[in-house]
Amino acid sequence: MIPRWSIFIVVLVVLNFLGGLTWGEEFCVSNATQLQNALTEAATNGEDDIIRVDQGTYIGNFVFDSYEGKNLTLLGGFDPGCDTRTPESSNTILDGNHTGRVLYINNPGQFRGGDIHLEGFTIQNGSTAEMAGGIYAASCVMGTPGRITIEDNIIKKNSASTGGGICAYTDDEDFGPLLADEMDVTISKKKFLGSIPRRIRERQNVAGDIVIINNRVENNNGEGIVASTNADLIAGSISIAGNTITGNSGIRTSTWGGSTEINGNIISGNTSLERGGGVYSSSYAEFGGGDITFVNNIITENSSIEGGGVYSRADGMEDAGDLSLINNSISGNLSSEFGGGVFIEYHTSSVLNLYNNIVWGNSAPAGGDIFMKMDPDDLYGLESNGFNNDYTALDGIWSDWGGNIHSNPRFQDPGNNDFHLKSTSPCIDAGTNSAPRLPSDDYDGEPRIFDGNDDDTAVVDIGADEFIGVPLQTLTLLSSYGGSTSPAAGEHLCAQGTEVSITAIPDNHFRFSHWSGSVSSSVNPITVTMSSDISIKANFIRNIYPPVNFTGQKVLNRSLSQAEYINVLSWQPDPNNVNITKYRIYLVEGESRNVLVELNADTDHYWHRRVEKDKQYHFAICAVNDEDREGDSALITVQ
Amino acid sequence: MKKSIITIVTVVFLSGLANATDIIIEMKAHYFHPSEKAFRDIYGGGMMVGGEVSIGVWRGLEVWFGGSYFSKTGVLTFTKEETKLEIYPIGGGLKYKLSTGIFDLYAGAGLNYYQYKESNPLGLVSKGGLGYIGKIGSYLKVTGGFLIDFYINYSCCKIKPADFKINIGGIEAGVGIGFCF
Repeated sequence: MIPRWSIFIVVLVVLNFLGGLTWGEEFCVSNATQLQNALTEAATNGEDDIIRVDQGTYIGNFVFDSYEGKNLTLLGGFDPGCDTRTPESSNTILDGNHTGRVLYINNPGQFRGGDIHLEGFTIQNGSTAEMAGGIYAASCVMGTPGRITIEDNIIKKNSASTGGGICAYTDDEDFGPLLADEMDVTISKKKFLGSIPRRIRERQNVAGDIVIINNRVENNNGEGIVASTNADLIAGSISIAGNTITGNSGIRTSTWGGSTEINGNIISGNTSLERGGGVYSSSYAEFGGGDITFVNNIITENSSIEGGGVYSRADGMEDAGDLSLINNSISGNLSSEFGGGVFIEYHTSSVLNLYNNIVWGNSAPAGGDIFMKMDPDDLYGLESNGFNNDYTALDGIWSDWGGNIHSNPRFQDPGNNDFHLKSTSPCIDAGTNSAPRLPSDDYDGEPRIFDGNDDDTAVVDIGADEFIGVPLQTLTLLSSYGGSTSPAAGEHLCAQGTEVSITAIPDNHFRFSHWSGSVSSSVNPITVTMSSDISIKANFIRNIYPPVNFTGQKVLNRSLSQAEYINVLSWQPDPNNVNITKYRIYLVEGESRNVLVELNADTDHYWHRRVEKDKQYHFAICAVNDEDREGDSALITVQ
Repeated sequence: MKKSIITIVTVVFLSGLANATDIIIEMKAHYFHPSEKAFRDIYGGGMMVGGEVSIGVWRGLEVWFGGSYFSKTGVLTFTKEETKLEIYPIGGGLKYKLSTGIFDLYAGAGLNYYQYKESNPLGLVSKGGLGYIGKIGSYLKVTGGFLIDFYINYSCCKIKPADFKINIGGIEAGVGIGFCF
C-alpha cells in the first residue's frame, strides 16, 4: 500500500520538473540599476517573472541571460509604485547610449523555452558591431519552445551589423537566424553533398512563434526587424502586423517550415544593400509549411539591389511553402537590378497567389514592378494565380488569369504617404472577392468588401485600401450597469457626417441618468453627427422609490391641564429599493420645501408635534441611498 | 376673592373658638375618584391624605377647616410620556352633627381652594381654583375622646388651564382618626 502523501510528493516533483508549477515573481523598478538587478534576479530565481517599469529614461545595456526556460514579461509605462499604468511607449525609454545593445534577452531552457513579452517601451541608441542593436530576444530549446511577443514599442536609432532594431529568434541561438543566403549553402549540402553541416545536424526539433505587432521601428542602422524560427519538426510562425517600419534596412524573416504573415504594416523609406529593401522574407520547407503571406501592407519608397519593395522566397523540396500577396499596395520602390516592386523567387512546388495588389510606379532595369524567378529544377510543375492586380512592368513566368489592369491607381497623395484611393481610381471594385485569405478590413481598419462604385454590388478593391466613399468614423457606445443602448454597446463604423440616433434603455428598476464622454447631455434618445470618432457612455442609476402607504393624521396629545396636536406620519419601505440609509421628510409650504427631519431607514413613523389644531400641513417624504442620492417623493396632506 | 375667603374663614374660626363646646382634630385618608373622565384616563384615582379640625360652635353645628394632598403620575394620552400631578385642596365650612349614642352622624358643606401642579414634556403648570365640597359621615366614639370618622365627600372645582375646562374634584371615601377634646 503506497501512502497517499508519497503520491502527492511525487506529483509535485513531476509537475515542478516539467515546469507545471511556477511561482511568479513581480518586480517594480524605477531606475536603471533596479532594472538590471531585477533582470539578473529574474534570470536565476526559477520563476516566471513580471518586471514593471516606471515611466522614465533608463540608460544602460540591459541583460537577461537565463537558462531556466521561465517566462519573462517586461512592461513599461507604470506610475511610481507600479499600481497604475499609462501604456504609452514614449514614456518609458531604454537608452543604450551608443555603448552597446540596449536589451539582451536570452531565455532558453533544458526542456522548455521561456516566453518573452516586451511591451510599452522606447528602445533607442543601441549600438553593437554584432547583431541586434536595440533588442535581442531569443528563446531556443530542444523541447517546448518559447513564444516571443514584442508589441507597442518604439525602436529607433539603433545600430548593428544585423538587425539594427530587433532580432528575435526561436531557433538555435548559436547560429542565429538562418537567412536565405545561408540557406543556399545548407540546402545544397544537405541535398547533394551528403555531408550534413553542423547547423543542420544540430537544428532543434521545434521552434516557437514570434509576434511583432504595433511597433514603430524607425531609423535603425541595419534591419529594422530580423525574425527567425527554424526547426526540423515543428517550426514556429512569424507574425509581423500593424507596424510602421521606416528608415531602416527593411525587415528580414526566415522560417524553416513555419508560416510567415506580414499584415497591415506600413513599410517605407528603407534601404537594403542586398535584397528586399522593404521586406526580405524567406522560408524553407521540405514537406509542407513555409507559407509566406503578405496582406494589406503599404510598401513604398524602399530600395535595394533585388526587390526594391519586397524580396520573398519560398524554397524547399517536394512541398515548399506557398507565396501569397493579397491586397497590398506596393509603389514607388526602386531596385538597381531586378524587381523594383516585388522580387519573387519560388520553388516549383510552391503555389503563387497574387490577388488584388497594386504594384505600380516601381522601378528596376528588369521587372520594374514584378520580377519572378523560379527554381531551375522544375520537377513538380508550377501553379501560379494572378488575378485582379494593377501593375505595368512584369518580368517572369506569369499566368494572367484575368482581371488584371494596368492603370494609374490614383492614390490620394502618395507623396505624403496617403495611399487611399481617389473616387476616380480604377482599382475601386476591381478586385476579386474569391481571393484566398482576403482580409475583412483594409490596412487602416475600414471594412471590406465595400460597394465603392455604388452599383449595388460589393466587390473588393485592388490594393491595401478599400474605398468607402466617405471616411468612416468610429462610434463607441458604452453603458454603465443598469441598462443598455440601441445600437448596442460596442464599436460601430459610421460614414462621416451621418446622424445617428442613440437610445438609452434602462433595465427594470433603473433609469437613464445622462450621457458622458464625447457628449454631455441628459436627453434621451440623442442624435449625434459623426464628424469625428465619438465615444459615448450611457449612464444609468438605480431608481429610488418613495416609501409606500404614506399616511398622516392629526391627533391630540394631552395631560390633565396641557395639550398639543401632533401630525402623525407613517409609511412602509418600498421592497424594490436597495441601499437605503435614511428617509428625509420635507415640510412643504407653498413653493418652498424645507427639510423637517432625517430618519434612519428602519424608521416607519414620525410625529410632527405641537402643530396648530386648525392648520393644514403638507409633507413630502423620500428615501435616500448610501450615495446620499434622494429618490422621488411621496406626498401627504394632514388636515 | 382669596382675601375675602380667608377673612371669612378666619372670622368663623375665631368665633367658633370663643364659643367652643368641643374640638375634634383628626387625620384622614381616603380614596379619590375624579369626576373628570380625562383625569381618570390620564391618572386614574388614588389615595389622598389630609387633616381636619372641627369646632362646635352652637349645639350640633360645627365649623371645620382642613387640607389634603394628592399626587399621582400618569401618561400623556397619545405619546404615553410620563406626567405628574399634585393637588393641594385647602378649605373650610360648616357641618351639622347629630348624636345618636355611639355614632354621631354629620353632614356639611364648604369651600375649597385647589392648588395644583402638573409637569410633563408639554410643560409645567401651577395654578389654583376655587371649588365647593359637600360631605357626610359618622363619628364612631371609641374611648377616652378617640373617635373614628367614616365619611364621603363630593367636591367640584372647574378650571380652564388651556382652551378646555377641567374638573379636578370628585368623590372621596375614607376614614379618619381623631380626638375630641
